[in-house]
Amino acid sequence: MMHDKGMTPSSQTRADCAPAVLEATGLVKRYGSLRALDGVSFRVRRGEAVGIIGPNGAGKTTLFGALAGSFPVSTGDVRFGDRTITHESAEARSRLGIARTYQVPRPFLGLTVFENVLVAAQAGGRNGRDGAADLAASVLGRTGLAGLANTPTAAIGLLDRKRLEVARALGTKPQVILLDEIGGGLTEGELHELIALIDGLKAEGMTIVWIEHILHALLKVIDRLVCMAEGQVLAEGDPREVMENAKVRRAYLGSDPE
Amino acid sequence: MLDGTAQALIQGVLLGGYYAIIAAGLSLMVGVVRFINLAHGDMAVLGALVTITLTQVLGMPVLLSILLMLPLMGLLGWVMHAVLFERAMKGGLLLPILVTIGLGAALQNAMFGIWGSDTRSLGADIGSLAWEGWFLPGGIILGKLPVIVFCVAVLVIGGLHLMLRRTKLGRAIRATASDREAAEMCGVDAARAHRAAAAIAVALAALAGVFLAMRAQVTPYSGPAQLIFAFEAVVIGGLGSLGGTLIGGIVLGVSQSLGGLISAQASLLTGHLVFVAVLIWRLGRDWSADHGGWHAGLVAQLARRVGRRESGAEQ
Repeated sequence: MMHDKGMTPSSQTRADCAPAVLEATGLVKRYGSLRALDGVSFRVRRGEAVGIIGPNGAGKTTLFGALAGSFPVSTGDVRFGDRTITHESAEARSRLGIARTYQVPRPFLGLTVFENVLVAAQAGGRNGRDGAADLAASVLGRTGLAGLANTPTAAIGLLDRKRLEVARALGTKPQVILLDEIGGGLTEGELHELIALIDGLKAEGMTIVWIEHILHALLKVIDRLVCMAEGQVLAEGDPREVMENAKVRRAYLGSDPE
Repeated sequence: MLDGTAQALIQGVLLGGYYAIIAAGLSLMVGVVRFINLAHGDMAVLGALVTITLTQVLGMPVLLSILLMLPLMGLLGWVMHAVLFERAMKGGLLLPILVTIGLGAALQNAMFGIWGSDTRSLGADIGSLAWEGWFLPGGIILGKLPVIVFCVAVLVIGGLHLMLRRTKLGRAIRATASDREAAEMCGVDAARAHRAAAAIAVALAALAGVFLAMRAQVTPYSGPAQLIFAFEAVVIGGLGSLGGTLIGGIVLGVSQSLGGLISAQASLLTGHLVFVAVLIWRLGRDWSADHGGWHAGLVAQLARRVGRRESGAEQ
């Protein structure tokens, strides 16, 4: 395992001193004989932005599912702050402050764009009646969806659905946001807006974990990079060093280093 | 003759109010919880028998009995969903059907055990309401009870609609119906949303049961017939559409009422026939929608016929 080898003094940022806000230890998720997660340990510190890359089938989205509580893991532990949440439901984790987006958007069809976010803002009752509506409106403004607020979700396109994924996650007022390939399919200009949005969230102190294939977008935001392959963490640490790593180049970029 | 038809038409519309109330809960469960409770009719009868007992044995005013019974039945629905339906839903399509058929049989026999097989009615407890009416020009009589039932139906359907559209619970129920996992990811308590919907559905069934007992009689075995009427109203109105359920109830009521003009025996049969006709029309429409619209379906049929004649293979 190269977990700590990738860490060099150059990658030490202020976030390194902070305690882990979300930490997974030895996660295993088996589907029959397939090990979608094969002993993954992962931690993210408060206020840190971590990128996750890896070839298809590496277990990136499965890791998100395990962190967010979409399914029970076979073995391993997930901790949030100082409590163990391995057996907490997705709903409980959402209320604790973990939000996730889906790679293929899953909007609530039959609800308007505004209502989609309002559901998230109202769930758990942390926001009062007006508070939730205000939060939903401000989140829509932030994600560029204000003009579509009263449009039925079934009528909006893929890009807006991706925005809505982020908006709905923000509606839960998360401390940690898990972003699953939200940059895919965006134009260069839209990607720019997205990076600005995520940068803004980071500046506010939100902890960000971002799975993305678009490396240049990822590298603009993240402090640390994790590369996964075949259900395991291949390398992690300073983004540039991870990209230079021989194993990463073989697994992810499909080329041997010269 | 014309007066008779108009009278039957109005009676049918008002009868539709009753069907809409018993169908509303079923519609809610099928449409947003995606759960079919085949004991729905038996829940209606249970609500009626509880109300009758509170009124006739304990001597409470009818209205008070109803107001006491409704939350009790709602609680029963909540508990039923928590302990039974939720587990059944995890077992695929067949299990909810088997479980609720079994529940219906158990309820019928439990009610038979408690109340016996006598027919019971609330008709004697509601005084003049049972037979009084307003006389309209043209000799048309508007029964007070059917008018009240119809107004309640409109209030129930409108209230449910507003609840689903405007309230936090309603939005949570709709979000859960659309994508349960994503809803939970947003912090929505999906199990609670479903239990609340089940509580509302059972309370509405019980309310319908009370109205049935006011205008007619109930026995412990009256449930399945009411379930069929409820289903017919839901299907005629369109699955998952509450407004449609009101219209479905009215269509069913009018069909039965007009059928009754032919002969007393033709009444229920006409309702069933209209239901089957609507079902066939809906299936045909959905089929043609899946195959490029009804005119495309027509063209395909023609082409098939022409093709058969020319023994070509085109469709």
